Amino acid sequence: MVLLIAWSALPATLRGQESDSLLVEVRLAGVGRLMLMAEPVGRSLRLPAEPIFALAGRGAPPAPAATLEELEGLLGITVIWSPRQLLVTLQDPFATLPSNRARVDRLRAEAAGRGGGAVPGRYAGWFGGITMDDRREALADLGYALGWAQARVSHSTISGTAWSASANPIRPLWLSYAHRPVGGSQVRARVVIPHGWVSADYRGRKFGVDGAATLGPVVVYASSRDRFAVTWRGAVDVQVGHAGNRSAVRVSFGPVDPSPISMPMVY
Amino acid sequence: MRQALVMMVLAVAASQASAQVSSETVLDSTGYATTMVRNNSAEVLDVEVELRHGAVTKERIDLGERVKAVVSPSRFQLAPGESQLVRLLLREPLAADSVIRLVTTLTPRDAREISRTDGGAAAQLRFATRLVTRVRAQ
Repeated sequence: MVLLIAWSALPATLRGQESDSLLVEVRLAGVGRLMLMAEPVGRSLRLPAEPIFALAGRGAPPAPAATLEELEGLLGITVIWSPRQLLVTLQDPFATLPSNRARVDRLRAEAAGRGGGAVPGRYAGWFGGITMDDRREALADLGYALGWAQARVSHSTISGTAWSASANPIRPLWLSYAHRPVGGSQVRARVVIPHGWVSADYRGRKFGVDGAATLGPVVVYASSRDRFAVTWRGAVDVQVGHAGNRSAVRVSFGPVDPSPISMPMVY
Repeated sequence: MRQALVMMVLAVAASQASAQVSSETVLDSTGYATTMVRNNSAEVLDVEVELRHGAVTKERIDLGERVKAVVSPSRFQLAPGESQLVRLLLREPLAADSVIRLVTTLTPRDAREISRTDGGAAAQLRFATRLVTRVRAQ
């Protein structure tokens, strides 16, 4: 005969509508996350589809709820369920979801908005170099980078001494100042905005404004100095530009996108 | 014999308390929090998690009614070394002086045989360890 003794009170049977539901986090990296009530279905889950489709940037779902496998088929991505972390991860490495594609476009626009000057935070310290050409003319430059700011001085046997400083005091703002014996001084400020950037500079006693905006595969650039360009990036890149009294169009292919602020030209 | 049985019971009870729960859980302004439950023992544990009201009486806390809240998951199993994230979401407003406790009950999946007589009778024990930890609002 076997006696089974429970030393202390065993857990009471749970009651309530949430006894089987799980509060899970649905995450699309770089875009956002949701907290949703999910129903366990075997080793999978059934989740409300509408908020997930909204997170993905898709329209109305075909059904109010979907399992993880159904979501993979409907969204065309990989869905990973981590039960110990109560986490559903939407993996979209190729940015096929509209919301993820918009994020990539925004990052591209921000990257295009970062002008020369301040270097990423991990780079700090002295830098410099010496250049000499076949005329035996030389240029030496020396600078120091703090990560969010840098200063540089150079001396050329041709043009003399020049110096510059640039800073990225807050994430969307870039400032720079340069002084050259030839050409004078230049002050520049660039602000990264959603899907683009705006830049203003003052050089040679002239004030100029430039800007660019990314709209999906299209980048539009315009300048107060009578220049503009429209670039369409796809399997084949097409760029139409105008500078002064000259207009041109360029069709290109390959892994390197054309610079959206460079005018196509024949020279 | 009786003394040996008591010693064996105490030894078994001590071996069951090898689980880890955060000593304090902090609810944010929306009444949401997470906590981790880890099985540091060598046995599979059945775990139940619940939120309960408490009443402070003479430097001790008496557990009261269950708090209306989402506890997700409220029941699960942990193999040795496994951890489980538990999400908490209040479904009722709390008074400023409310006392709430997170009650985690851990029960080994397998009963442990501690004694067998010559006649074939055997005693088995399953200890449920209850961990009561503090919950406060931010």
